[in-house]
Amino acid sequence: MLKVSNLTKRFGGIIAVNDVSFKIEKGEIVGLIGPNGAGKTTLINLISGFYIPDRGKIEFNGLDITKKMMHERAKLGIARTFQNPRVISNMTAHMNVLYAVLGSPYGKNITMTEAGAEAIYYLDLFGLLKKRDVLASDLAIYELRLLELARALALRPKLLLIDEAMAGLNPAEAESVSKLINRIRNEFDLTIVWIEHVLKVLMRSADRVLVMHYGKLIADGKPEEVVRKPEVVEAYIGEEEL
Amino acid sequence: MVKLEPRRGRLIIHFFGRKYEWTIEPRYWRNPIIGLILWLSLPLLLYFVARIVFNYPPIALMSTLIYANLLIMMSAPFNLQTIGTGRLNFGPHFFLAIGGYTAALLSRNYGLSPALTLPAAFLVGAIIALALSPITIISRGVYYVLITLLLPFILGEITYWRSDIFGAETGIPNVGLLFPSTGDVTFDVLIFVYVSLVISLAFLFFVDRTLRSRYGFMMGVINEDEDVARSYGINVNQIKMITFTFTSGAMAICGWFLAHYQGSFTGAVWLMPSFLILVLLTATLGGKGAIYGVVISAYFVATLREVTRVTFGELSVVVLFLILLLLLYFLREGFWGLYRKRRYREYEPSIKVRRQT
Amino acid sequence: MLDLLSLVVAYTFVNGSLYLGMALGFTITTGVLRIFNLAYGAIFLIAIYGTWMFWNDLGFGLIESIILAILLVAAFTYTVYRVVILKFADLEDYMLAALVAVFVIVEELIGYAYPEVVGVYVPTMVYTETVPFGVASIPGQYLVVSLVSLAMLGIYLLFFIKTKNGFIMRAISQDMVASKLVGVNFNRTFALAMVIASIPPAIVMLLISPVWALNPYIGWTVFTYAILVAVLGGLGNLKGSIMAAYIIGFIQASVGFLLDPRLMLLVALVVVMAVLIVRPKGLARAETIW
Repeated sequence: MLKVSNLTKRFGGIIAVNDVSFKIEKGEIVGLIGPNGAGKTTLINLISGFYIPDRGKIEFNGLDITKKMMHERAKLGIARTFQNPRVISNMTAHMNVLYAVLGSPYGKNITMTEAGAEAIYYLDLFGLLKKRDVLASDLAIYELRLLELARALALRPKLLLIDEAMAGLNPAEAESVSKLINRIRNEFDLTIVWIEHVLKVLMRSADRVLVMHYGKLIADGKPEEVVRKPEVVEAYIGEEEL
Repeated sequence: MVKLEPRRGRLIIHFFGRKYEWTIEPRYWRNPIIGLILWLSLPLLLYFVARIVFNYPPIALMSTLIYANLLIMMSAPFNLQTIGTGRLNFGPHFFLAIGGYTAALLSRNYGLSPALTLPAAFLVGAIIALALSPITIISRGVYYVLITLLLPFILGEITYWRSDIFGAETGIPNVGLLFPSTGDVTFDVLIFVYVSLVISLAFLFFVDRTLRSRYGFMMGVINEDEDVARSYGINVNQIKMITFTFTSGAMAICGWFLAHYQGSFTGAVWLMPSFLILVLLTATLGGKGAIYGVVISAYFVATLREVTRVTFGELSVVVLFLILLLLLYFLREGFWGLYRKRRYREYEPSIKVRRQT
Repeated sequence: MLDLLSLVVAYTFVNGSLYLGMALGFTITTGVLRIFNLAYGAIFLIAIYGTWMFWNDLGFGLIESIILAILLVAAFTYTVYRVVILKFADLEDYMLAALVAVFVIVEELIGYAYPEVVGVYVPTMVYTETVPFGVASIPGQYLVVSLVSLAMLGIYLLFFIKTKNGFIMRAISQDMVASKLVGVNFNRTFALAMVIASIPPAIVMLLISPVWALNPYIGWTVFTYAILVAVLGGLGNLKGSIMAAYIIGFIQASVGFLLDPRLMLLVALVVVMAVLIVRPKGLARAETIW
């Protein structure tokens, strides 16, 4: 579904993403881990179109999307969440999902009222129905993370890029989010790339794991295998035991 | 192809594969209809009271009403442009002058009728706006403010440089009037009042519809966070450029009206910063994104302007601006804030100058 | 031909330095402090007409009048900061409109008190002779203005780059609203910086006034040049401002002497806008002070 070849992105003297190549098959949950500053979010930004790479190619279902604009990629079926929840504070939860519904490939063929109803459906999926008329600025972090996911799902994506769904959540909340992600992957036939620091949870859900360090991809394989690699352990010295 | 589908409380329009919805909620019509009737009858009322009761031709009164409508004609598209581009344009009067000069020149030099100069003015304004529209994408925040602030000066310099064409300070005289005179000057002015009123209504209606539609909603998203808008399928660049083009064309129509109302067009008068401030303050005092508040603030500003002109003569601008500044400070939500109905769908836009996106 | 070219070179230097002096306060205030003071143009009017008022109407000596006028400029800037900028800190669209309104108010007040016919004249001529430059010659006063502008630039640079206060101002200017939350002291620092930034343009204006035709409406012309230099150079970047000022000076000089004087400002405006399309943040590579 997604093929990334020799992707490179520089910011001045810093090479954030350095010659990264990998493939993702339909239906996989691929974890993307690595220490802070490894380039994970930059990689997501490159795939979603936030940045244009300096070198390399991105192919989505056979189509070369390297130079395509963000909104075109969204319409093709790539949705992403943000590391720091980036919802529109001035609008309610409902409105925040509504524009995603309108932005989806099917958004043109439905009326505002129908879109509103569909937005309610997504809010309900994530248990946010009661909060639908609450301004996003008044939501708690857990609800915001759910809202980010609901909004991303409303885009009816084929590929979902999750950037740290569990930061700032307590263990119970993290567990519930993780269950939700697994559930939506099955129900909506999604392919997921998931950046996460809460490794315990990620390792359980992921089919495959990519490890980044200083912009380079240092490992690509099943969770149990990747975790044992010396390069990965070295990159993570000081992290919790897996 | 095109199909209409009535439902309860709304009309669904199928238009070449897309679906649009027109919400028809008569319970919300009462106040607007009352307001509309009041607004439409006000000029007639004032006219007859002045003429028959006081036996005095109310030209100053009528031209105040025209000025108020002019402010509406500028502020309504201005508000739409602010929301749709997410930027504050400090040069809306540039497009007014473009429209005015186009209409005046075509009318005087080629004898074109107002019916023809209208689309011409709109097109010239829109085309220039389209050419300039990339700045809504490239420039942000205070850069955008400063660049748009400079636009009227550029036009001013051009009119001085080619004063043979543009008439510099004296402008372009002998422009055809909108309609042949009825013989009674005061009655003519009354007709102009209604013409400007109809145009204002048309602009208000169009802006209101746009803001209530999905495009208005998407504009709100763009205005708040462009990156999120792009990430969620909104073609931000396209919306900005189209908004900028059409609203600027609308402002050019204001210039067209002025040219055929005054029978001449003097850019210098309209390119001044004081006019810019009146438009800006009318738009902001009306309440951000609130359309009908603009009507109230426009009439308020126009009336205040006339009153200060009569009372203070040369210092009128100073007094006017001081009062408006005080209002700006005390009435942060604009006139619309004094009267507001909160519906669950209502979104109040915030206008950011210092922005990251 | 040679005399024309000498004039072009001479006036590039002279005009460029003049515009630099005019723009310094604005680019510092807007770019470093991130305070978008659209009432900046009023400084020039207050400096000149304030001096005239104190000297001609109130009978003070010339030097005292100048000092008083500069104090008036400082007071004006401070008042604008407290009354407009702080009050509307979270409503920037209101603030910008209000600032332009303040500018117009000042302009109209001065126009009312001293209409053009009054013939305001500020005798700050320091050097009355002309100075030969190549084959041509330029009024010496222009050179005085240029040297003073450049001196101001040097002072600004030293302050913002070398001193601790300057460094602090640059650091906290990133978010004015947030600094407001942190403490009142920051407000005092900002106000001080803004006031200090407004004084050199006043001085430059006073020095150029003997050779210019004065009327209450030159505020906008001067402000336009300040905007052009600041925006072309990149707001807050002093290196950019220098480049921009001399580029604009060159454009003006060459268009004025070689083409048509009426096109001077127009060409400058068009060139700046064209550059901004390619480099939206101006010529400077980064939004730093140097």
